[in-house]
Amino acid sequence: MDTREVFVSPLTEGANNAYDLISSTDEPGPKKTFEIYHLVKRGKQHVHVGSVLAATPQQAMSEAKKQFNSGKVIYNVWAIASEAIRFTTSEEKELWVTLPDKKFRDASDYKGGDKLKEFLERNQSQP
Amino acid sequence: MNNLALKELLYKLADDQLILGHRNSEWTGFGPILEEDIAFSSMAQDKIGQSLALYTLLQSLGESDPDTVAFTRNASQFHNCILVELPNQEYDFSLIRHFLFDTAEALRFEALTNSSYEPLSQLARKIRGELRYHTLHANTWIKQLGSATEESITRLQKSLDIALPYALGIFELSSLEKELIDQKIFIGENALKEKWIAKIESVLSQTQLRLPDWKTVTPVYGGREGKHSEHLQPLLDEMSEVFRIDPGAEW
Amino acid sequence: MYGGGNTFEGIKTDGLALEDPVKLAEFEARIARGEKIEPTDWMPQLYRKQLIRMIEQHAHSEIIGALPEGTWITRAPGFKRKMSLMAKVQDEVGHAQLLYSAAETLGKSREQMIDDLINGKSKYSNIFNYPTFTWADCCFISWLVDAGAIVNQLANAKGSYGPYCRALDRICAEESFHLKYGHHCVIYLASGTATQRQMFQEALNRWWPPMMHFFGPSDKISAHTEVLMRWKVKMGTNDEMRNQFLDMYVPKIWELGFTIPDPNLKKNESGKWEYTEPDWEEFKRVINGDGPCNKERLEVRRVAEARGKWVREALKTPKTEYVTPLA
Ligand SMILES: [Fe+2]
Ligand SMILES: [Fe+2]
Ligand SMILES: [Fe+2]
Repeated sequence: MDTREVFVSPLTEGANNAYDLISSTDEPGPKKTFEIYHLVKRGKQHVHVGSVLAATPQQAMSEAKKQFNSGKVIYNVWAIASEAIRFTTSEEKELWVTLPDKKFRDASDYKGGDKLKEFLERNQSQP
Repeated sequence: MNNLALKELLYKLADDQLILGHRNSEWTGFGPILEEDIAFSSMAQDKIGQSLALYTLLQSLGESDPDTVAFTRNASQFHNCILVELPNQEYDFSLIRHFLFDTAEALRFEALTNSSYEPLSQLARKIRGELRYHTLHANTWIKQLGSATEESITRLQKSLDIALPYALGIFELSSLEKELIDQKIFIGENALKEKWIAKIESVLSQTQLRLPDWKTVTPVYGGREGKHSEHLQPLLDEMSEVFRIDPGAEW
Repeated sequence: MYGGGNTFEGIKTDGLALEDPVKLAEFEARIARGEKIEPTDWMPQLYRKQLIRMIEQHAHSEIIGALPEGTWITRAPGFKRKMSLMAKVQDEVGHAQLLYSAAETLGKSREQMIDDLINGKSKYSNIFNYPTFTWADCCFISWLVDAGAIVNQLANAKGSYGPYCRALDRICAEESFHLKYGHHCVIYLASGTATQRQMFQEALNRWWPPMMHFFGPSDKISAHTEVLMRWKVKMGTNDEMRNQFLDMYVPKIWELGFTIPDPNLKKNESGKWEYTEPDWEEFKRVINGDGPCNKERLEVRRVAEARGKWVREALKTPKTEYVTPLA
């Protein structure tokens, strides 16, 4: 997906909620779905919170404010038309089935403790 | 079950995966864009992992352990097709080879999901997703570069023409072919080749690349019975350089 | 992998006077409160410039760093080592990709950055200008160079720029496998045959001086970086980082019975490590292009870029437009 498809709210800090800077709009026209993402902690990544129906990204923001503004401080909101996102199909999940078998990508696959212990003991027994 | 025919099949499958995995891994750090370094490395890891699984099956049939088999044989004892041992050359050749070989590989393992040799059909089902990724990658790139600029089309066409005789060498017949088919271990090279031709034609028809008349392409055989190009032995020497310092040592 | 401050030269702070003092004060207050700066936030020019430079150098270090280990992928002894090393070096290339994206959020494109690397305008970690003669050299990098990089990266992950911190969080998660893998390899060399032990001892002798250089010139002689520390661009002095590394890894090297080639290396009563002052003239010479492998490393990159040019051109058809990453 192109980053130009992402509609971005103002970015806030401290105790300021980004939703407070979003005005309510109602727009005519056919509606489509938008996916909504929140930034809840500065420095962390945006997280998907749900989707809304709207005619424009501005209206999607305004809808998100109604549905997802729980009073908790949100620093930034993204709205992305669902159709702009390429979702993984259930068939494609097959691509990752062997991932759990790739243990060599995990630190826990490198237990050198026994070898090290054996080595240290062998060394100590030598004068 | 005919062990000899089965072992021969497993050896050629395993050797193909190991050698092409090795070639793919040579792209790490040299790719045309970072994303391709990473993709070729993923495919190398898959292929070498698959070869390990196949050598492990062979071990269960009485052959030596995978490290010994992979790191101590010489070229004449390898059964890979010559296509996979050819040097990477420029990216166009690597990509064409990847497309031609991995299409055959995916169809081969698809057929093997029905193998009467249960451990092999199990493995074939398990790695289906990995192979799907490889063909997805190959087809995406072939379609893009095969219809993009004059240079990309000319390059791919040239590499295609060079690679095709070797690609037909994938399907070199074995004298034990009939046993494999009769015992429903594998559908056989001829049946595989037919499926492969259909698939290759369908993907390439979506590009500006041209296939020659198949009758005019003379297959390069020999790899399956250990007769290789001059490129395999140096590859193996490199692969075993450290291992050979002390084959008994643990590394 | 990467050494954090080591390629830092002095900086000019005169431009700061031209910044809006109110905005600058706000910006500094935010950083002091521990807040992260995001790409669309206001930031002083100098902050932007230094961050681009640092993240870019880090990214270059990852792709150049893939080369000395990468040449051992095809030679790794046995399936297990081969699989691990492939995955490890692939991660390093992935780190470069991630870091270039983080730097792009500040307005410089990946292509420009790679051009600057090839032109020699932009530096990368000095340590990758040394050759890997044997498998043990490769193991040294996987274990100890990555260990040094982790010391830097963990510190930098607490810095002030959001996209860089997030990239580092992911990178550090992968580094933990690299470190374990590297240590595992060295344990096997240590407890193996006499030849194997000797291989690693020789690698240690070769790599110790560049490893000491890795963290950059000592605080006594390095350029002042107070403003960068205040802005949490640089998270510790070179000597602090070096000391932390020594504290964590010297005991582990000694435990394996290897000799570190510095007779003066010891921990004093105050818990600080003492060592022979590294040869900073050599460091300067190598960083300015006169190391054993500088030419080779850049040449590889240059050739790869030149040979890949037609591919990148072909990817732009049908015409695509450059878009800056968002976060
Ligand atoms: Fe690493
Ligand atoms: Fe890294
Ligand atoms: Fe590293």
